[in-house]
Amino acid sequence: MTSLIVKTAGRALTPFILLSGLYVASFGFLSPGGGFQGGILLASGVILIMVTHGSKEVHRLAENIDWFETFGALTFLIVGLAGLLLGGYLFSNLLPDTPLMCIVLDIVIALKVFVGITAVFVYFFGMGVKEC
Amino acid sequence: MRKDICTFLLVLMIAFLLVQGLELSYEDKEDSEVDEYYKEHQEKTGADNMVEAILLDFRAYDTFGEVMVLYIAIAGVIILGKIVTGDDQS
Amino acid sequence: MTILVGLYGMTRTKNSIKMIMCLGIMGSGVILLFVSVGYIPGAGAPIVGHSAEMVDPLPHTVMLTAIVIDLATMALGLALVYHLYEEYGTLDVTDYLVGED
Repeated sequence: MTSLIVKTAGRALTPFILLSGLYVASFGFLSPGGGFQGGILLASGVILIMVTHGSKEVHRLAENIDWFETFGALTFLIVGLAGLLLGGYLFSNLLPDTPLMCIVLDIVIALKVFVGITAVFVYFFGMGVKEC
Repeated sequence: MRKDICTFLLVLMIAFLLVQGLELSYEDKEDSEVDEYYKEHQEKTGADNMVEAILLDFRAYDTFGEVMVLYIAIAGVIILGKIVTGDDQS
Repeated sequence: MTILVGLYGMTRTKNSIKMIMCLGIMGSGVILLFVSVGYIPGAGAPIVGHSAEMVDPLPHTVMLTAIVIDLATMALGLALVYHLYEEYGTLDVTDYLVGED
């Protein structure tokens, strides 16, 4: 269905989109960016591959990747409970004056948003395929 | 015709409320105490990006609730998609 | 103003998908409203060391939350509209209220 030009351009652009997503997610504490924006960028890279190359492989990948969503939510909760147990209140910073908590939560949120948006698009595409 | 007038009146009333609220919020913008607190205690978080410092350190509990909203919405979409595509028949 | 456009569209249309589009337009209006409230003339981005005076970072944080919740709400609404279309074969909301016959 898609032409050779679209396939080649999608294959060439996707690594750079993923790299910029990783940069935005992991350097969100220093520069503009953050977990949500990085996660959306990562998901847009995967969606580009899905649009240009068909969604069969990505569909199989996305069915095995859903548990990352639960993993992200649980990690967020564990960080909060560790702050409650060791620091005195919920989500207290364990290492003051260092951005460790921001980095960890940024990467966790980026993973969670990436998996979530990819799963939503995969299931929307699956709905459209069933219709035809 | 009556429906048009009702809709127009509703939109007009909400426009009035919005204008009133905007005037209130634009008046006392200079001395926002919460903002001053965040700016003074920013060194404690270690993050230079103020938005990240507020989002993930000062107000991490709000972010946790928001992550839970995203989790539940995506779980709903996945469940509805599995009903449609019939993956869950086994 | 964008909020009012979305509200008018949501009350006047009968198409479900157009209603969800109006929900997105209203969300964009709320985001513009809050970011404009936090703006200070002549101030830079809210990053330490970037500029001498920074804009109010609190509305930016709240709106970052609101964007994600808008996205989640619209995704769930579109999935539900798809199921309603499968069930009734139409997108008109007045046909849903009639019931099964």
